[in-house]
Amino acid sequence: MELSEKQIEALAPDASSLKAGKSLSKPQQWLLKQHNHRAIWGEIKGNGSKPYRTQVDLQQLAFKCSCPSFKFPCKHGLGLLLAFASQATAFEADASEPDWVKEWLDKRQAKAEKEEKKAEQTPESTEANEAKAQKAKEKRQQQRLSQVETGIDELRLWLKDLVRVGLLDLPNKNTRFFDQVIARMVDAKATGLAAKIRALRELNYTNDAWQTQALGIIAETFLLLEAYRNLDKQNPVFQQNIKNLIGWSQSSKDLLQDEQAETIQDTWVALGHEEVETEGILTHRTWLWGLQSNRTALVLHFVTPYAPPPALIPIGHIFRAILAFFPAVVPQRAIIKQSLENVKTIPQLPQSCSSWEEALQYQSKATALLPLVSDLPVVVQQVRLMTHEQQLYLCDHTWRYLRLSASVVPKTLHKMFAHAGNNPVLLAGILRQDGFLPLGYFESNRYIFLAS
Amino acid sequence: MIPHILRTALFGTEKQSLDTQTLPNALQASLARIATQEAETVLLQAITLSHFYEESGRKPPIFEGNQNPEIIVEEQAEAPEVYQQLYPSIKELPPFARFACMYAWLDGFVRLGAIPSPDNTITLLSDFTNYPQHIQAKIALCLGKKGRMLLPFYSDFQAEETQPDAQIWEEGKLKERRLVFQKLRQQNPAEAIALLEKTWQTETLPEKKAFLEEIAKTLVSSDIAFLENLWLMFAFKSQEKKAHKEIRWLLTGLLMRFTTSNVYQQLTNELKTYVQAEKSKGVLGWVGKTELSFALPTSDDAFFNAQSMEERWGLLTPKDYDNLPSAHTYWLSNLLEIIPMNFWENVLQKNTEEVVKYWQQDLYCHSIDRKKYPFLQKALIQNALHFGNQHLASVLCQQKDWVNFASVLPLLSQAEREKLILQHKVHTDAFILNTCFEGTQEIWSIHFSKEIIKACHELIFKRSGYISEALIALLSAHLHPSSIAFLESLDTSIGQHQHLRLHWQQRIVDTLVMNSAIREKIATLTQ
Repeated sequence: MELSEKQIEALAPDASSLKAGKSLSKPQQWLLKQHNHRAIWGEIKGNGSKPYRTQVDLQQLAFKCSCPSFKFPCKHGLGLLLAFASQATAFEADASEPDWVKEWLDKRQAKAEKEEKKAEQTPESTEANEAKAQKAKEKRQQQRLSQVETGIDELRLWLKDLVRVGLLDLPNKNTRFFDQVIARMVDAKATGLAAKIRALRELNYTNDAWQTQALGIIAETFLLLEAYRNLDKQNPVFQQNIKNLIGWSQSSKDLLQDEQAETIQDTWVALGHEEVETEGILTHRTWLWGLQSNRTALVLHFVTPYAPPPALIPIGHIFRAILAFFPAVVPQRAIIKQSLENVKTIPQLPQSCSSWEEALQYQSKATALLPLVSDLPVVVQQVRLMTHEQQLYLCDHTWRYLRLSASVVPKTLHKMFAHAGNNPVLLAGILRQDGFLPLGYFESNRYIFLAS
Repeated sequence: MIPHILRTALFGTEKQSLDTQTLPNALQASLARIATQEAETVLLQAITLSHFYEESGRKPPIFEGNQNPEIIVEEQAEAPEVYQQLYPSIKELPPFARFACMYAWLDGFVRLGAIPSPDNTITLLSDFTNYPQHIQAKIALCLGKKGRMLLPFYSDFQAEETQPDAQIWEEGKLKERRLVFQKLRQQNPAEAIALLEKTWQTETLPEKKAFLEEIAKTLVSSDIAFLENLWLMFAFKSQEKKAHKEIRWLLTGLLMRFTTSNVYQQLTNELKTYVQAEKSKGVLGWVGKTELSFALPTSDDAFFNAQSMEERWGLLTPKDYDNLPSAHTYWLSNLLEIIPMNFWENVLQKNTEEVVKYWQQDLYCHSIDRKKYPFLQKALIQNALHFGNQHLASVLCQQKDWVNFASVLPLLSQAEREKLILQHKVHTDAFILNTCFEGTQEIWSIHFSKEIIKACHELIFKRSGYISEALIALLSAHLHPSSIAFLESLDTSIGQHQHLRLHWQQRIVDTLVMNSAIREKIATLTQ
């Protein structure tokens, strides 16, 4: 895997880690620096008596370091990778792996093989065990259903109370007003509903637009409650989708074992990523675009301080892989079932919408299938960044523009302007409920990502 | 959101009931299909339906700005990537040592006639407000068109206007117009005066004062006619404003720099009448030797009086005489500031050193606790600065209390400044070094650089002292590159304390070596 400095920088968990990583990016700072086709590893003097041992798995990008940092990757991991990217010749090539590297790589490989094997194998079980497991599963499901239903009833009541007394007083409510309901939804294992109330709590109530935004959130929440109430009348995929939106999690292991699951082999480009922290869990979202199939995929990694993600996909990375999609009305979430090879340049440009109007029509079609669908990746032709009265607008060739999502970081747009000025570009981004989130643009055979 | 639904939702179903008849037909039909009577549920259903109804099929709005834009094309190429890549290394330098290097790097773009890459542009803009003003100005100068257009999103810094000078002169703010005038004065002083003459009548008094201050910086002999004309315009008028008087005094000072001006003739002729021969002090006096001196009157006369000073020359008299003993000494002090030194040399028949000594005699000293403090020192300093008199500056700096004259140090040549610092053994005095070299791009001589390094080394290892950040900043900016090897060669084993050795190695040696390496790369890449 060849990574550019910018791609490595995008892996940093925060600005301070990146700065610290850069300060360790000179090969001469590393006491030991070696690499082979599988990994890069090095030793660097730290605060401890022994030098820190840092290693990077190049096959499935992953980091390990003996330093005590909770950050992932740590400054040593970033520094080592940056040093390698800037001056690979300073590293001893085709070196034999020391025990501490070999052990880690072998362990990772064994684990991957085991998972693959497990996915391939059909479980051998006795009828009795199967029945027992089935019974336990049904019991758990029943318990869960009962918990969720209690939560849903409470939320329905809360919403009714809210509209009975009116929303005018909503800006004056303290966070406790929302937190109580959020906590109840978390207890009821309806984390999707908790997220909706959290969004209501986080609204900018100093902005006049809060009234429409609040009603939008209430509408989506109510629709979800209604959909759950009528769950039995829906087809199984729709049922699954609604459950996922309420808070049922999806198992990657189950997906790998599911032979019926939809898989797509393609050349994928990582359009961009986003990190969202909720209740101490960092969700790392990466959007992929399949250049031949023109399918999009959302790969999620859940990161806690003690469980780093197994593999990160750098933004702008182009690779051939087989992706497995979770069943859904509008399939979006996927996992990488098998990585095949890395690709240096973009072999072909993605299929794109000719205007914002066409992009919105695509969004409407998806909404018609599943009204609560969100975050649709799109590529739109000839979009240019324009300034008007100190505001930035993304205009298409018909001089129409889309409002920007609240999650847009101004620097993203500035980066686009610094690169392309007001020239039209083939822009990739995400259509969200609250507007558009630009991620990057295609320029001949390369992808310029805008996230910093 | 449909206004009626929004209104009901805001007030609540307790106070305002939802009238579904007011909703669009499609929504009415959908709501009718859902049979429920509960007001809250009906409203929640109406909210949900109208939300998706409005979201689906909406058209994006039309851009109201200029739909026929000129495509922005950078006129300058991006600097080579290897040059761009120096920025992260510069940022790794400690802040106090970074600015000199940063300035040199930015200056390199100007010399290359190139601009930063888009990524560096964003980084520079993000870092913009962390830099001092002179670096900010340099960044603004280096940015390409796109970068300059983005600058207002990061700072309220006013980048140099891209409008034509003539337009700025007609429509701009005083600060911008002053810059235009300053630029033109440097290129063609007479043309700048011609430009100012065109608008002079419409300028306000503060504007007139500001432009005269600009003229003072680049005074040339061809300015005399314009200034003499102004002198007549600013002659005393009853009920004149304070600013009017101040401009008259400013003009007096400017015209005193031309021995051919009427003001010079008038003022010096008046002052000459106060020069008289006096019997010399001591043995020379006994043998009948006389000496010329300036007899400052102790009571008002036709020249030394408040009315004459104000009406003829524009010099206002403050109530406290600016802490000088009398009104007469106040006037003398102010006149001393604007009268060329060679006038005094001629009328008193003394050389510069003697004139300086003359104005520091007991008669012109405050006496406090039996100590004498010459009160005309400020006037002598101002005189050196007013006329850019390097010789006078040099004479003042040779005095015992030379530190009091530090503000004239920049007038001296680099060699003189270096010599003075070595002579007075103030190698590690950041204040003096700063006064001597601040704002210059001068590189110290190798000898001087080594002496400063040696002094820093001694301070740390022999006197257990620390080197201030201000001093390291000066070393970063001015040290001769050939002295770096000497810096690295100095013995650190003599240090008793580990923290002092670390201070020397990390704060000074590492910083300066890195700084020197970057500056060398800048120099090589911009050749």
